[in-house]
Amino acid sequence: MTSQWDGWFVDAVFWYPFTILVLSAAVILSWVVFRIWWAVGNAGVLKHWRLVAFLLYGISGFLYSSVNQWAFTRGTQNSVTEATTAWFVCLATHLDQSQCYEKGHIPGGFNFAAYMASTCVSCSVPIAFALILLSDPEIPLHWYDSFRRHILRQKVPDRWADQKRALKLSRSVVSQPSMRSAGGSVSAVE
Amino acid sequence: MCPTPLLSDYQVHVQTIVQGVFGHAGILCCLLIIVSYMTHPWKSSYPRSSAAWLQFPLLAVMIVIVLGVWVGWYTVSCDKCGEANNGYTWIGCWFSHWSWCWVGGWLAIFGAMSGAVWYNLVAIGILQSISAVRIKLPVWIQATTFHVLGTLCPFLYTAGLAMAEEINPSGGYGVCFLSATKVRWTLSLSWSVCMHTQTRARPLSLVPVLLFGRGEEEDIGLILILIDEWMVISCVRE
Repeated sequence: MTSQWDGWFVDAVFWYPFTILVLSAAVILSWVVFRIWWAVGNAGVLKHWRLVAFLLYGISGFLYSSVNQWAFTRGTQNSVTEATTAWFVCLATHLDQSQCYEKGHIPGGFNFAAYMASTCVSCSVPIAFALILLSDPEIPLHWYDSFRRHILRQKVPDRWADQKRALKLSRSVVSQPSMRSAGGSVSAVE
Repeated sequence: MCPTPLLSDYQVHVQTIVQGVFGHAGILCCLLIIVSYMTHPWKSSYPRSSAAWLQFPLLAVMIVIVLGVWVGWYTVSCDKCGEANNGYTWIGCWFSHWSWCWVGGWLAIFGAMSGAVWYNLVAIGILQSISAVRIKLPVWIQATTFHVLGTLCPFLYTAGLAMAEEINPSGGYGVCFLSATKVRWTLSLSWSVCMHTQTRARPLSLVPVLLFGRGEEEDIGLILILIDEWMVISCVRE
């Protein structure tokens, strides 16, 4: 079973599925931001700036990989091949190789700047995620409390005792639907 | 010639510094997020933990970026197993010695696909928390489904590509990847697997007839038989 791919194999099995997945995440997260804006307006969006930043930076960073592939890798594939081939021919036919272009500086050849830009954007995604997610005050406060509790051996009150109790209660209610319905019927009777 | 000598020594030096600095910063950030979330009282539980699980595929991609800095660009870019006539059958060469190139290819494809899926799962988790949309399943089933979709499926997809011998040296200064210049895709196992399936597993093709061969489902049985016959004819033509 053979198929004619004409060089599109990597796009068909990797870049198209990858881009479609990123776009679907963009649609879902855009809907989330729209819902927040619709419900509570600009103030709500500003309050949830981490979510918006997570949406914008993640989507932009992921999509840049696809753009780089089609604009600078796939898009220039033929010209790079031709320029490189001409350079190899030049090297092979000239005893004085200074008459050919220097390695890494072939006009129309490999776009080093675009390659480095793509690498920097890819690496910046987890860095930006760390700045966004770890700027949540809950994280440094948890680290601070843990340091005092486990390293300094101090008695530190649990600042999230109420939230933990609520979470535990919520889980127990979700895991026991019969009790929830029983409670509902009781309150309905009352 | 591998890697193709497209970069000057200065450019290779710049690449090593940039990828080394940014890649290690990325790894550090991924680990910080993972540790912070996994030790937090409630951010460590589903669905808030999805943001941390997203960091694992990103970590794989960051490792791919620094791999060349760790083991050298030649080691990570070139591998004799990428040659068509390497003396081994199927993927035997890749398993005969440790290949940073091949491992890097696995990490790159798995990391990117898994990262994209986990980004969707994070989005679904947030959507659930701010809207009336609810998945009416126990939490543990939801969490397991997230891991199957976000981790297991991309891993199997990557494994499928690797088993089909599609992860090969790219020729550039990077890990092995899917071929960008491939013209014809030949499923290397297609003929032998096809004939094996159609001869040894022929009795199995009667299963759909027995299952769907009666009443209103008769059409489904007929379609399955036609597909089966088409596969046999395809094998013979091959």
